[in-house]
Amino acid sequence: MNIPWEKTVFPEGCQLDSLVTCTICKEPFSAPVVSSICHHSYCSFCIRNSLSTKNSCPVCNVELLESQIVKVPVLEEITRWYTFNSSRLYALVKKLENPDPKDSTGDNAQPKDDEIKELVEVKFASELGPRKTSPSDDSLISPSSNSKYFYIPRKLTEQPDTKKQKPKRSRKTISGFITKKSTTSVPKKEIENQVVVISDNESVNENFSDGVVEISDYGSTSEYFGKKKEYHDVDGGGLKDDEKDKKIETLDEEKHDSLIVNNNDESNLLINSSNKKNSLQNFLKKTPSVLPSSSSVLSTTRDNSSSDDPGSKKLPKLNFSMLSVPKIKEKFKKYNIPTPTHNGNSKHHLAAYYNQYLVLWNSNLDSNYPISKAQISARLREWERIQNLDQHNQRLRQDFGEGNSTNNQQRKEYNRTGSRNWMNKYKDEFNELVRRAKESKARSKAGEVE
Amino acid sequence: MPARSTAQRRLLKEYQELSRDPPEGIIAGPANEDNLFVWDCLLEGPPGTSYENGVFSAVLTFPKDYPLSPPSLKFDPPILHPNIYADGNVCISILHPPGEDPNQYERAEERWSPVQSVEKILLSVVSMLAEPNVESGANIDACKLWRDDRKKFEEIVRNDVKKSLGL
Repeated sequence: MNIPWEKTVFPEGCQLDSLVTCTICKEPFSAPVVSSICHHSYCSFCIRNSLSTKNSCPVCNVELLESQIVKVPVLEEITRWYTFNSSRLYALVKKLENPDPKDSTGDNAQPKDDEIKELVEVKFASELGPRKTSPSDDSLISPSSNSKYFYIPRKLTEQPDTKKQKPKRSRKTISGFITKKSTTSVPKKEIENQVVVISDNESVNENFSDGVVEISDYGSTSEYFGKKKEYHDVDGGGLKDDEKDKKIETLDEEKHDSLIVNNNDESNLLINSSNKKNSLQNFLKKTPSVLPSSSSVLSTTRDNSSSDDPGSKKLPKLNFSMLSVPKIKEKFKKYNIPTPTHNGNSKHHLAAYYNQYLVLWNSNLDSNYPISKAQISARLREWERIQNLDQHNQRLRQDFGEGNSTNNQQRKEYNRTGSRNWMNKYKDEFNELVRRAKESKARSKAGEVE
Repeated sequence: MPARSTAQRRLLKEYQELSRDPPEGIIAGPANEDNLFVWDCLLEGPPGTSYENGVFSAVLTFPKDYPLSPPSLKFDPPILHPNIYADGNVCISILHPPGEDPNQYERAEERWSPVQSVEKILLSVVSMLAEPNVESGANIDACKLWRDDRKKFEEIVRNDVKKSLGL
């Protein structure tokens, strides 16, 4: 659970909180899917990963195949809405609990006991780092809670600005979903509104997305806020909003052409334009409310984009027992998979590597907001790194042996300091050992020659 | 700080939840900040049993592909219980991956699945302390004692309790 609703006057909040939480990763859904057999929902990545080890539903244990899961775009939208707005809702509920005449400044001057507790909790959460780099995740700690809990003077001075802009944007977001009128032109406008929201988010994504950020650490809070700030700037730029409003108007006037223009515009913002066919925008376009003529134009453009990029299809499972290592490498080339950096020749590793890529790739296709290929590659590298770390640790453990007290001591030391520190510390002794080994080898060779 | 894997993120999440809202008689957390895959746990003996008032320490070890595979739990020092091996390792259905059931004792839904959690494991272990499952015992000597000579069994357990309190 992300927000402690149960401690407020509105404990029902935690029901929604748990409804949008994946039971496997215990985090808000990302690219949620539902089992068509038992109707349990998971993140696409979580369930695909789980099904790769055992073909059954983790909750009810009924037999389940990967082909039997279906994506649920509306659940993703609900989850995103909640992760974007939950902290603000929480702040509102808190305000209802203790109405404070001096407004937020009074709050900041003398935080109450339970707020101090929360401050510690939120701080703890941010110190340990948010996990994924998608805007929805980072918004778990909203701008309002930042200024409230972290006492950052710069943020506080900016607060009036963010307050002014934030509602404006969110109103638009909501209107994209709930505007309902009976005329035929209105669904179209709904879609265009939606377009703005999506491209907005994508442009935010771009800030977070360049692979490096993806795997970089969030250790220090200051670094984390640096990123938050970026997000604000993109988010709240008044100019941009105006531009978009204009865009909506023009889009409403010219109908067919505008959709194509918009597609082009969007591809500038999107990192990976090939994935846009999975966005909610297109999901909505498939509905009958769209004019038939424009949908035919759309379908051709969509076909073109998919034929341009064969990589926007789901990857198949491979039978590795039937494939030799060179054949596997051929497949890697065919599917345009980044080549593994370590242990490139072990079939076992190649198979695990491919399967991990498959899970990452296929689950990304289930998202309304797919990440770029560079990000997938970065996650794959990260997975690979941890696999190798694991192997390294195992080897180390074997070398140490079991049950020996001095070895236990060493192992403890290793566990405490981590492999790199351990290597640094014992580097000289290690080099000395190597030198001696080389010496004795040379001596024995010399002996043989004589 | 290195980037985090799926397993590490989930472990952090569980640690946060456990420290925010800890169940009664259970304390658990990573033994050190650098390695999230080894947790130290303190379990209180369930009241109304011979384990009452004891505080038992155990070590949870998580696999790298957690939560796909279950962790293992080891009491350190070992305690006498029908479902705990002599070396302290706990034998309980929630810690066994489904599909691997040598004794056919356990129903599939009782076993490990990624939707289980550390909290559920530790709660199950506490209830296991209260109600041993002699049908599928791990420590045969403990099973025999429990069945045939309950008084001696309880005496040994009370000694364990005293030891656990450092008396």
